[in-house]
Amino acid sequence: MTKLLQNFPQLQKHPFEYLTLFAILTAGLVFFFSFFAEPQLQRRVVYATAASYFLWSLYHHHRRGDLSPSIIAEYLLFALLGILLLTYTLF
Amino acid sequence: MNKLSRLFIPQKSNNYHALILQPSFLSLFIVLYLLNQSVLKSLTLLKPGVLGYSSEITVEKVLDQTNRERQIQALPPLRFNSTLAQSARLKAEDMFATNYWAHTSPAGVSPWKFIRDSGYKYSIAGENLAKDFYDTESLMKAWMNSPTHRDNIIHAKYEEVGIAVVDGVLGGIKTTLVVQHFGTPLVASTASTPEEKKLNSSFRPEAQVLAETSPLPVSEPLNPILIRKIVGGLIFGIIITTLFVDAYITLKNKTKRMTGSAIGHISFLALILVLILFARQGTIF
Repeated sequence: MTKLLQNFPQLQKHPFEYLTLFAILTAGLVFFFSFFAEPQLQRRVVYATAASYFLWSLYHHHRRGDLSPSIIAEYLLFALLGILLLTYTLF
Repeated sequence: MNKLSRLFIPQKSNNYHALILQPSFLSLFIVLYLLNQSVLKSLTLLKPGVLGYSSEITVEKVLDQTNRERQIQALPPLRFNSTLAQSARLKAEDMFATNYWAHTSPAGVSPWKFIRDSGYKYSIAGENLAKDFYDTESLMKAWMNSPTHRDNIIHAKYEEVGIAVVDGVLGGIKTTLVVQHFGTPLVASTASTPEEKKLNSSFRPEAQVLAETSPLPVSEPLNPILIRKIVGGLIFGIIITTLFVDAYITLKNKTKRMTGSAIGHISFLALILVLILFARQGTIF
């Protein structure tokens, strides 16, 4: 496991930040499937997960000291793309 | 060739970050994806029926699986009733004709009117609706995962069912509507007043299977869901592949740069992929 982590220096440097991200994404997965027959709630889960991912990026890059408009735009666009791909495919 | 490599491979000329992953290209992908949605939407308005798909659902399969669910609960199977099937078919045709998707029509016509007009006298009745499902297994899974629909399927008081599987154009898109009308004939019950279940709570009328209710469209329509999935899949594939290539080369060269986290992006997109692949298709009501 340690050897594997050596290949990902970012994970090694910021383990708790990445654990938080994985927890956010896992929560999104669990809530999405727990509202199986309720598309409205599923849609909210998607929005909340994407928003949390974006907020996580702000925190993560702020801690790293490299938060810049370009990075903010990158995460915002990734979150938006994820929402669009999901909502137009599923709802 | 060099220009193409700048799109996917981090190098000095793209500031060590694949161009595809930079905000300008991500914005372009979003615009292209939205444009594709607009074209599909416009097509449904300008040429209704060009888009859509036919399903593999049949009345027999729905009846069979409904009774299988009841068997699991140790309940007697529902008898197929042609009058209830007729009312289910009329309900589906009414939704196509007046372009709505609900238990009660915009004109205020309830499911019970269709059942009564078909000549079925009931002591209790209920309705399950579904659309845009491709196969019976997914449809039944969605119904069984919804407490209200499940209640109808495994309701102990129901004795008969009528099912209609009808293809048509709804909201400009070809689709398959599935209507289940559940009921118990008045003569078979001691109840003196017909009981009409609350539509979005626990009960719906049963439907019955009609042999002629599963016509398949003659022409092969373009499937909007498939088009969306192909375009979305292409965009997704390009981005995730570039992310992996970009991360691998950056790690290999130990490049220091100020960009978003590749692990973060890949994890987020992986979640989106899992949700798209494993979420149910179609909608129920």
